[in-house]
Amino acid sequence: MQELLSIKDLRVEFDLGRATLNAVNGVNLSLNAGESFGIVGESGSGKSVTAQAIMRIVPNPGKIVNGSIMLNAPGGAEQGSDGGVDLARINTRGGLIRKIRGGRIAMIFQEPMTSLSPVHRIGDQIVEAVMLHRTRDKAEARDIALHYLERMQITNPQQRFREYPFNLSGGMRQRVMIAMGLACDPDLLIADEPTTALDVTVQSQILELLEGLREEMGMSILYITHDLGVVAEVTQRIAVMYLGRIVETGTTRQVLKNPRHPYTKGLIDSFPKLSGARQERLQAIPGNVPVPIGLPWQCGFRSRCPVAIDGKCDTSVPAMTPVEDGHMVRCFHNGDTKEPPLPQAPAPRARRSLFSGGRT
Amino acid sequence: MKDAGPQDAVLEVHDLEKSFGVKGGFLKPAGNPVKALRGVSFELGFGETLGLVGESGCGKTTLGRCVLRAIEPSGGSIQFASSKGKLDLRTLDAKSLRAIRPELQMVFQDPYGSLDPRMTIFELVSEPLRVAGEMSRSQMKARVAELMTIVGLNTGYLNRYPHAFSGGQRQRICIARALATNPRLMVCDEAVSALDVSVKAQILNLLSDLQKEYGIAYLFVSHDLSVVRYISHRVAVMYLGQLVELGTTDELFSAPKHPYTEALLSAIPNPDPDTRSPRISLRGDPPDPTRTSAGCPFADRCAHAQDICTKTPPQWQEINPGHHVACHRAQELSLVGAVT
Amino acid sequence: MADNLTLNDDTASNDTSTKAADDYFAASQWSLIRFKFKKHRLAMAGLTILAVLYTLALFPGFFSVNTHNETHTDYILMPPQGIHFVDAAGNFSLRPFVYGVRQEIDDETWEKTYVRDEAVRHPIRFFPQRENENLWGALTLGRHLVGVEAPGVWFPFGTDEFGRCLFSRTIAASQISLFIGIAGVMLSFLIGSFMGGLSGYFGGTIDIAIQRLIEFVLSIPSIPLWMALAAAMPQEWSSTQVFFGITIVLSVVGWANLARVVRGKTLEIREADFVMAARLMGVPTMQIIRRHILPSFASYLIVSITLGVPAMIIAETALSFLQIGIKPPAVSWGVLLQAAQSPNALSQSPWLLIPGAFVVLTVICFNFVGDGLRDAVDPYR
Repeated sequence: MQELLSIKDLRVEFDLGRATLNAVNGVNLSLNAGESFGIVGESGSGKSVTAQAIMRIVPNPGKIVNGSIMLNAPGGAEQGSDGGVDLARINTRGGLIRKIRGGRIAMIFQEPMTSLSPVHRIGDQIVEAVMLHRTRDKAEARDIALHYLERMQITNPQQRFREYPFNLSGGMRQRVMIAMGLACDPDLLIADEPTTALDVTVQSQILELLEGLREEMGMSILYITHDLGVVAEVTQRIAVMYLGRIVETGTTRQVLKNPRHPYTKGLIDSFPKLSGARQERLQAIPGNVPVPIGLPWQCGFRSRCPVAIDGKCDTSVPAMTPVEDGHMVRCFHNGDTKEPPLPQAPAPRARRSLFSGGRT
Repeated sequence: MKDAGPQDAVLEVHDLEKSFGVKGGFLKPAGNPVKALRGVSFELGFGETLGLVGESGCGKTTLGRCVLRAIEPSGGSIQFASSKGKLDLRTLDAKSLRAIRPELQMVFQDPYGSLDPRMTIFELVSEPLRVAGEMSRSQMKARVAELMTIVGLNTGYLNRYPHAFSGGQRQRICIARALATNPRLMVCDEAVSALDVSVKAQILNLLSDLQKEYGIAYLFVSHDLSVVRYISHRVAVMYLGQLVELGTTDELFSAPKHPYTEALLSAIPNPDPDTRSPRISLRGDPPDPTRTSAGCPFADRCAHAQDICTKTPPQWQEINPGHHVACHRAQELSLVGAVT
Repeated sequence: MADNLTLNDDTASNDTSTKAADDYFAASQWSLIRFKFKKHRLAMAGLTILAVLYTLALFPGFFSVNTHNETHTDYILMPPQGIHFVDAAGNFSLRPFVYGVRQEIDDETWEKTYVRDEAVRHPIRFFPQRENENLWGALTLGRHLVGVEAPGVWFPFGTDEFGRCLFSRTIAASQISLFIGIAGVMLSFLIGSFMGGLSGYFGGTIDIAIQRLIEFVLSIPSIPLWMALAAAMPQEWSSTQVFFGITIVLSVVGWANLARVVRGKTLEIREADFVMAARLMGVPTMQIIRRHILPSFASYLIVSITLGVPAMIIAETALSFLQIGIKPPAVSWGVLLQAAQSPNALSQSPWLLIPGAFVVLTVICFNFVGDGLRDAVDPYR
């Protein structure tokens, strides 16, 4: 299996003046070509910031402070001697990132209206994107755009082509946005909560379409979601994130059927079951997700963990430990390896400054 | 009694209708009215939870709000068994309505928008008590502190403002406020939809604990079927302003009688890779509520539609005791539920 | 009652709270606004300057150095006099002083020039022995704060064509100019929030009627309207009556914009969930308006008001400059600028423009403060 994207020790910080918010805290991730991968986490887990880092669209004052994001060449070494480019290092205003955004990596968002311009016709917007990345011929670009609208099962694409985004329902807009992303034939599609704002019936249609297109076009899809149901439906491998770190990763079946991290277990248990008898009580995870500011050097889940080990979980961070083939987990109940401390451990900072922070 | 619904109903809704006029104006012709509710009837027992599901635009939120007269229904009746006897909320004048408001409460979807950011937690939670006007300030203080304990919040937070709290905590504050006046009926409008997965379960547990403790009836509006399955005793499925199916949760989830229910159930994303049911794809998007059709409103998206479906509207029939459905072919179809 | 309920939350996120966090979490909207406003440097600078200007305007008699209406026929159109610490001989004196001035007339051109008389020195003192006036209810202190002893003269901004002290007149004029802005905005605010509130809360026909009225008012060119209204004021009115007359004239146009702001905000907040929640709790309508709706946009109104003041000040200046506003002997900055109308006067005596600089300074300061407030009022974003 060929590796398409490889993230190594990625850290993203938001400098809030008096304090630093550690949004992404050392993420390692490897994504194969043609693969469907899911990052699961609650708000504040750093899953969206990770996706934004890949596209280099981390909002201010966020900064990538460490790590690399290698995007490998599609068919080998034709693009450069080493065949890859480190997205964490390239200039965010340069021509290269503009070529990669949209051309090799496309991204779709929860709210399609944020990425569709309300004042331009749908067709023109897709054609513009295609002409930027695929062809200079307008007629050809138009054919490509129509093809993808059709491919996204948009009824009457010829007519939709001339319409404006506000004429469309939420589901239709999301299809248009996906068509726009796919029209440039990217190697990787990042889908950030692509169906959260949609009804379940529409959600299942869109997920099905996405998976069909992925197989047909041979691209990879990185799903960013809080919904275990969605990842279970569509992904091959998943990573569970908590407080800026991946706590468990493996094939979707490994993680969901045999969760080894107490957080993953908690998440699955807190999800109301559809099978079996109705539950009397849900197994909720107590407490709230802490704000990642000035947190001590310890397992991030310790404050909510039912099985935390005193003297261990509160003094060191467990390292990712393999438990089966391809299944890794960050928990001292599965091995003793500790994460080496950071060169300069972040000093605990005053909590006061979270005023300007806020949750995302 | 004609159906095996609750023996003792706190709420009986009959033929509730609501149309939003698309008003004409100067140089602007009037549009078709949006028929958000097209004759909805159901009952809700004391201490019972009725889940109300459907796609966006089906009228479930409007129904929840009409029941509380947050918006004015256009027709029908809403019988509410208040502590002062049975009343028709729909025809109640403003003054009498205000008098029984304490027994009717609502929890909103957005815990950020439903708390006035300019008030402290004490002011917020005590507002219904203040309006009722039966308590001294010290009584109110004691009651608010008690409410905070009930919903699992630290009583030391009373002089804080909402901006200090996370989504889950804010929703607890909203619940404390709704609880303040010992309501008989609480409409939960997507009350957990905006919350994180792990927090969602906490709030669902809290709601079900409160129901056991105080016997509050919930009208639980949600698009999330797995949540509805957990919290509800009975479930009503709405489509285009009408109920298409109503039954006990177990029956509706295991043996749906309406093709729309079947499609909804099959679309639920299931985190368990082993219990996945085959997907039934619905064609098209949720329909336009300004549209009127001669036959079954679902006919154009239904895989089982026949001639009769496009011509005659189906009857609301009781197919099993307590299980109602509006479908011409309910008897003959054998549909698949979500629970195996 | 519910002691048997065991609900487990609320452990992780807030248990690390410190005193500082506690203060913040218990901070009201207004303290958050103050917190943010204080970080806005330009706005704080603007606020400080405005505070100084308004203090001067409150006690013009005290802060001026001469009586503002007193004519000094020997000193007509005299340029500003500088303050000195070191005299011609190089002697340093801790107490600043001004030199005496002699008028000389050019034999050929008959042009008057003022020549510094270095032999005469008038030291500047606190509370000098000098005639003072009582201006418009300002505190009667009987003395100027600083000045030179009679018969010496000191004109920091020079004099006008009647030999009146421009500095004292500028300060005296600031009283009308600065307060007419506030008075005008207050009146506009009363009309505007009433009309906008009606329009937004009730909607329907009332809304349509008020909206059309606002559009009508805004579509009239304001200067001709003011001119017509000002010209309609009876000639025999006293200065006070003219002041209030002009205030009303300014508000007739000014309320429309404020009414729009109020209407928009009312519409927005009327639909907010927390207003719905209050209604469902049975809170009476007037209480909802008072407790929930008004406080929600009070902060926005303050911004609008702050940004409305400079427009009023400019309008008054324009009217008075065109001689249809405040009329002499009452003074406003516009009245003072009348003297600078002719190009000749400007080239000969540019110091007559100094009151204009005060207008500019005030307007800029108000805009800075308004900007700062606008950034600060939404602490929840």
